[in-house]
Amino acid sequence: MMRGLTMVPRWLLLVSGALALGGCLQDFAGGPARVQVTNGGVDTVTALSIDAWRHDFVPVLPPGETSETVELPVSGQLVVHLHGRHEGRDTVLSRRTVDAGVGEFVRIE
Amino acid sequence: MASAASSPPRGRTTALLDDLARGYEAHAAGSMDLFHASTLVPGETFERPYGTLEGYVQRRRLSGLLMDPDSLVPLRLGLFGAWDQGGWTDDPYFAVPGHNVEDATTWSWGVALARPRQQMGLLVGANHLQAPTWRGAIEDEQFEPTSHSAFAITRWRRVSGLGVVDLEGLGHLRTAFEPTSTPLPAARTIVFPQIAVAANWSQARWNRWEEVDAWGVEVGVPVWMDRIYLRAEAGDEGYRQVRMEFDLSSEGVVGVDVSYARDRQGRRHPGFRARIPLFTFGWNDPEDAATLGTGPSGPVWSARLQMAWKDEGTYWRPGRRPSPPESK
Repeated sequence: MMRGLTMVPRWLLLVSGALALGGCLQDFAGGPARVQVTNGGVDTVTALSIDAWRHDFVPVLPPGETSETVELPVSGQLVVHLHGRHEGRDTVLSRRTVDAGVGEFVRIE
Repeated sequence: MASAASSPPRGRTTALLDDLARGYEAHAAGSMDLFHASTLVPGETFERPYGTLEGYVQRRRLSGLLMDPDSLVPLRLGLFGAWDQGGWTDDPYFAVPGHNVEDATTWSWGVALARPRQQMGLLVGANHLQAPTWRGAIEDEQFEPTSHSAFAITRWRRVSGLGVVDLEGLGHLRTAFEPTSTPLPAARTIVFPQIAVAANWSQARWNRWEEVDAWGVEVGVPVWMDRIYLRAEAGDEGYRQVRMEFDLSSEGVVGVDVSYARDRQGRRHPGFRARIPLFTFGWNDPEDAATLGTGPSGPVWSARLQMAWKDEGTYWRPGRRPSPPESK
């Protein structure tokens, strides 16, 4: 085994080590922000969106229900839209700024 | 769309060129610099249409100058190349970036001519600043178009000069009386030979300390022989840094620096650097923070492999000098 390792060029070991270390550093500070939505209104909540990114809840959230934990694509002070059905039509139910820092877990109600 | 975290990428190139000008010497056979700096905690912000993102700022650089290995030729030619990349990121990394990352990359090339007998050197080159881009999990964007600039570094004995021009005119100037780069007798009490002074001027986009047009001055004074050295830098936008360098030898490859500086947010904090041969580790070092182009909200760490060399057994940290022959 050790004899086999000595035949590998040193630069290849170094590059492999650096790539492995680079991979290990990913998410070491806590990873992306995560949110959980509780539907506190009277309409059904169907999706959560940030700009062009959208997460559809399956199943949808009737009033009083809480969603699964959703991993956000970005962290920070984010403008989040909650989509739903109001009087039979798809619409944006609410728009709010959520403070979801790196690695944080936030509840939206 | 401007980034809240980052300065224009030209300002970052100033760090590379200033370092190069400080260490450029006619008698060196080459120099190399492999550098990585990053904030340690996620406090850096980046403005997007959908919010203020939180993450880190990183920069990495690889530069090298290789001269003709024949040191006896009257006119020595050389080639210079550098790659400098980084920006805001949502996840610290060495090799593989995360989902959201700003990419501001600069490529630099140059040719060098040196007349070792006259202790003269000239390095001329160009910077290609690739259009800074944003690659994100939600959207992609290009912030600025690609731009180019040219630079010249001169050295005659201890006098050095640096000039940078871009399409908007003069960007950065630095002229200096540098510490001597040639070996000094070991027994000599060194005071005057290592005194250094420099003056610089930066157009706002080329100013790595603050994004305003500014004059700056640098002063270096030996405190005890060539083992303890005090260096201070100030600009008309404000005080920049004071640094005490402790070295075990004139090569400056083993030692410690302690510093105190003002960052871009006006805060003042201490920093240090520790050196073992070839490798330097930095913690909150003001020059590392300035290279990031931000006044970091948290600690900054850096790792650096850096050396200049003359032949197989003679190497030193750029800006220092080889040991005297009688001390070997």
